[in-house]
Amino acid sequence: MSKQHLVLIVISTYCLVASCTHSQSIIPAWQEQKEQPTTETSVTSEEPKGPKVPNRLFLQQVSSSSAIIKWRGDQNEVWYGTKRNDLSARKSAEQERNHKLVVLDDLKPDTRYYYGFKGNGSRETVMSFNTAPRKGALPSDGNTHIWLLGDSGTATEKSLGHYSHAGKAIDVMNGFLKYNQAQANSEPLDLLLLLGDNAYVEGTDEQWQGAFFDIYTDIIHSVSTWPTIGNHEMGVGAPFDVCLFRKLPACDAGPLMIHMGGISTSADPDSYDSTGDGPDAYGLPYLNIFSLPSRGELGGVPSGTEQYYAFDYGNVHIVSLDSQLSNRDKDQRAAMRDWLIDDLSANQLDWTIVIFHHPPYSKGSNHDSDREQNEIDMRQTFAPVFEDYGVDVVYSGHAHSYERSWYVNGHHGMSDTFDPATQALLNVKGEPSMGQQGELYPQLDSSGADKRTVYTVAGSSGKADRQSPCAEGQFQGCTLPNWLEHPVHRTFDEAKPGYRKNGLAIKGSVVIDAGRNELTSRFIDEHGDVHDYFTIIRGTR
Amino acid sequence: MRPILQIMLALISLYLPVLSAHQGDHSSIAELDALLAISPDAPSLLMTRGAAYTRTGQWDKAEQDIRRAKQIDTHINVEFALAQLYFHSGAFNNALLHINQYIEINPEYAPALLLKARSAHAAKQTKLALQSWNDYLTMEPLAHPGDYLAAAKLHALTGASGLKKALDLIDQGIENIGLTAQLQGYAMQLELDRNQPTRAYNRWRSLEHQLGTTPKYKITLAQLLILTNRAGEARLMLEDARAQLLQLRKTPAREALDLKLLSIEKQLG
Ligand SMILES: [Fe+2]
Repeated sequence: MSKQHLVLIVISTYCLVASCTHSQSIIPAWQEQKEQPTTETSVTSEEPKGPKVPNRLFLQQVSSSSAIIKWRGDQNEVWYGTKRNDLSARKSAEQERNHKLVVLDDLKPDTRYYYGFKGNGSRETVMSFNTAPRKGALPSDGNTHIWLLGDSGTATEKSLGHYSHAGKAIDVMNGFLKYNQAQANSEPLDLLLLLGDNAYVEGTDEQWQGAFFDIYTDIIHSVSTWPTIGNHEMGVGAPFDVCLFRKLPACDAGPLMIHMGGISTSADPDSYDSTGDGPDAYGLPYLNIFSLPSRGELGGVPSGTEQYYAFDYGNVHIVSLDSQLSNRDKDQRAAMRDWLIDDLSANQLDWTIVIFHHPPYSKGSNHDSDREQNEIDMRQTFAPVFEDYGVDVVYSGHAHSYERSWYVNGHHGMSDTFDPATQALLNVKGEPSMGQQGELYPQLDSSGADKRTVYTVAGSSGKADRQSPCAEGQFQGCTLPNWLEHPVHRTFDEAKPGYRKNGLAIKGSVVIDAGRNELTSRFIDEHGDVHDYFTIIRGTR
Repeated sequence: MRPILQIMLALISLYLPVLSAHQGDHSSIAELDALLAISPDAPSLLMTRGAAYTRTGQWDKAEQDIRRAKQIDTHINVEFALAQLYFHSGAFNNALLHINQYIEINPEYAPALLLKARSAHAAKQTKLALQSWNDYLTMEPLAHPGDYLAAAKLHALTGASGLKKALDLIDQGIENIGLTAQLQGYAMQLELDRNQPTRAYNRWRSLEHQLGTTPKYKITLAQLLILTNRAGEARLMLEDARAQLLQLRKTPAREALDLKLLSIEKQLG
């Protein structure tokens, strides 16, 4: 192969691995996205959107008695009330660096509130949300309905100056919406959980706008978003101009900057660097954008940092861990583990859900939990805590595929040490139980103890990795033969398209339904079809 | 379409399946190798590969790349990269040397102060480490609870006056980042270490609104009641914890608490 060919491969490699952008301003992602596929349904505001809705408007920390409305724009006050046509209460905004926010308090539990921004003249757009039920109670529809998105931030990912995954996140959202209308009675969402890497490639404020706020706009007006930090939230390593090395046609338009996004190994959010020219003035955009409960504002034990936190929502306790930053430093990791133990010890709700970015068990195309230290640390340090303290389900992203474990306990080593006979719940045939139909997972084992957990990797909400076999002697930048064959994960029928032995190379997202006696988790593809589910039932088998 | 673009697109499509947004460090190195084969004197490439070598524990290669980048372009500040390299490779005194040079030029960069504190701490240069932790926590009052704890634990190793300083630091942390069970729980242990069980009890009690409904909190409180000569109250607290453990969903952790409770009751007689 000539040198010229080699450099092209390498450059194209970089531009796909990282994002190659011209140094001039980035075109907003939505302008280049493909047309939205037609679906029978979509989540919309109560009325057509008017000019008075800020282009970044979202809910945070919706509890049984309060809610934060956060936005960026000229509007300075929020009007709200429990009747759509009577927004008589008013609250003025506080300025918080580059967002405005109001904290609504004295709200009633499990009640629909309407809100909007009144302006001069034209018709108002009224949005609404439900407050959480009282602690321990179910929402009035009998079910806590949760949507999870992993690695959904691809709308702002570029290759050679073009958006390389345009429209994929929208397709996944529409798949969920179609499913929700056809199979879930259009049940309103209670929570939106993000599994990290939700704004490629560096997690800049602008990328959050394009990959998140411009995509899920109407959904996040009506439901609170709860995120976790992924590697692509943490900026870049050193960038450089590929035109210095090779005069590509694209170089005529100016320098072609390669940003090695997603490879920061800092444990310190203050070291966030969006471009490679040194730390940004305001630190990590993720922490500037989201208002997270570090002081136990919504139940949960105070963590003292927004990097990890916990909260209660009705009958569900949710924990968001920081596998990207705190997990890298031994003192911070120990503090996070001790906090987790205190938090889980204090939890008495029906169900416990944990989210973080780096999967403790995965054979993703480009992420292997036997090889990556963050994943090994999450498995060795935290999985024993999940199992000892009653965590029911754990969700991660990072690998752009879907993998879902058996109902396991005690597997904390490398994948080749997994022993289904002793570490997974078996069915009457002596095989690992699927958690479906006649063999639902009991929350308690035969001794009456809650000690098993299901681990899900759901990082395909913005793209799905495909197979590219390794050449002889190649171990990196290609798909190893055991791709999606982690034995801790449930098996699939490999004859179907996108199905591998222990995982799915299919775009999609996860929906959790947590009722009083059952928790069901489903993987939904971009067409609204369910490819996997499992159910945990309260009590013993 | 120009032939070169066609070739490029064909190559891209070959790579598309796997070259999604994030790759491991090893593949970055392979790609950087290829670029460096073409432009062996590009300092930014050398620095990037040096950092990738550091992340993958290839210390000698990392050092070679970083130092070569500096040779080629003497204006590059490689001190932070070298300090990280030496810190991760366990050469803590070397790390200190370079982080000091970096801080001389960039005194306001909090991550550098943090790396200095960690390097001095790991190098067992206690006095310097304590000063560096102090510098860092002064600049970054909203620091991670783990950093407050690391600094406080180091203070606590330095004798009786150190215990007091550790407690002062924890209180400062609580003021800055809020009351947390990690900070106050450690302070409670320190109070016991300096033979102040009543203070320890009071500190633990301050967590009641956060942890108060849990058997774990109650069992610890019972232990503190015993230490403050209130065995009767301790018994009641243990009974309360036992009743609660019987009601709560059983977990391995709660089973372990049950055993702990039994052993405390035995002690009480
Ligand atoms: Fe990731």
